[in-house]
Amino acid sequence: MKNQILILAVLTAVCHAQTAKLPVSASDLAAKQQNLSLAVLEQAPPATAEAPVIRRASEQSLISQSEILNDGKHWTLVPKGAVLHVPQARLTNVGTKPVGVLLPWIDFLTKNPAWISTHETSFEQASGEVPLPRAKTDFWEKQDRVIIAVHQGGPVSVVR
Amino acid sequence: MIRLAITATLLSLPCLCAQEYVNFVRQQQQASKIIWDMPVAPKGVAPAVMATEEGGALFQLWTVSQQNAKDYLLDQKVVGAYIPKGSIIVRAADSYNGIPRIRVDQPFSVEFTVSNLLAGQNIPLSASTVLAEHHLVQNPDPQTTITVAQAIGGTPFSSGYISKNGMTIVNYQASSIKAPDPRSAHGEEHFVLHALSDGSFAQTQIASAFIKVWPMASGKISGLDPNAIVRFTPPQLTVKLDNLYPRSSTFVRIRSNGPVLRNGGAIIPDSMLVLDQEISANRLLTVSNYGGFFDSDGAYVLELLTTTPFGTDILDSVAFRVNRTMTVNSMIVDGEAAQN
Repeated sequence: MKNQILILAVLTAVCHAQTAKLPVSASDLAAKQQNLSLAVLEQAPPATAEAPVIRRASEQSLISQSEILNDGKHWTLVPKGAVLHVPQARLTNVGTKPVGVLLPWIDFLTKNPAWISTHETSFEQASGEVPLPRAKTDFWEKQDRVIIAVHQGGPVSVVR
Repeated sequence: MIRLAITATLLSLPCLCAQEYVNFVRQQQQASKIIWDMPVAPKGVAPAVMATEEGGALFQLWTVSQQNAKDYLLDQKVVGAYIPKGSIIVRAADSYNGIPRIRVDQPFSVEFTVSNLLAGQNIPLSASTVLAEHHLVQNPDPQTTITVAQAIGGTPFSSGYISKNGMTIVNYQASSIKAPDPRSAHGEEHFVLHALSDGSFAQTQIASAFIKVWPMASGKISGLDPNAIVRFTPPQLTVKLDNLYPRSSTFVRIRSNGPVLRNGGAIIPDSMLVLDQEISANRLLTVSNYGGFFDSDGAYVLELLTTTPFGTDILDSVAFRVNRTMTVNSMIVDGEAAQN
């Protein structure tokens, strides 16, 4: 296969070599680079009283915006605010530095069913419009499990 | 419900091995600030199950390296019921796994497509106009990765407004990336469409695309002086090659120095270098055993050529002569006459 590719490359090169040319000079290229801009578009927005606001991507970090979970061998991350409850015995499993192999959330959950439970959270609960059920939060306090808020399988932040 | 096409543009990273990176798609509701992680595969389409609020939602595609736990923002866009939609396609003569790439001296075009813009009196700016931006990134080291935030976080090289639905095509005759010698310039050119918001959005990007720009190759044949005369075994050649295009065939050709021979001359097999990779390359080759290519005495030229998707360029050439005819100077002496 490799030989076939090489032969093809040689044949292609031979065909192209018939029309070989000298590359463009630095000065000619510099001349081609003049006036290359989006100036062909409108340069002013339509007249309006509004002042347009542009927000560009700035330095962001997924990890710094997340809570890290680890089991000693693997780690994953969930949005900050998605960890609803951490029992005393599991403090070392939450909020530490990345250790081991990174897993997608669902794989990490599958490997650690013994100490992680999820709570299906509605949009209204996540936004804080509706409080989390009191019975649930009281129940979690008596458990030795880390509780993660999820919405249709994906971890979700909860405003509390 | 929004169906979100998720194609991880991992090509901008040094390695594409799926095991070495884990992807995350994060949805941030602009008004309520809710953050939701969507379970994703490396490539595919998934529905965004969280309702998109009036203020829109920001979708971000992230990948995290297993090796050093470093995160990379690959792409992001704001979508919403009252936000214009946009897409950008960069078209170039070469593409690598879907990422367009070009040599600095070659033309390319950018297609901005905008929909859902409204026209008429008293239409808010956010619904009637989008802003197109062009960002340039000079990458000092092709081995390193430029993050999207680095690429498009600063002041744009140029910008313009689009206030009509449909496609707007902008043609570029060459890359805009500058360098002291423009032939060696390389980096990335990013194009972004922004919605014009009232300031309530965390980000206003509705579409983005980029093209990778590679420098022009250069090369030098040494070991054979110009206008040298070759008698029998020709000298060993050293071929120095810099900035070879990622997909290229480079070789040394021998041809007569005059009318081009049949088939344009002969390629020295030892000199053939075929590349098909992500980044440009530098090489140092030695070439010998090319004495058998000379059919007869005369003037010849060695040409260093590189073939890319943009054609074939002559990087260097050396003219020389072959003279293998032996001239025997002798004198016949008559033995008897000599004795007398």
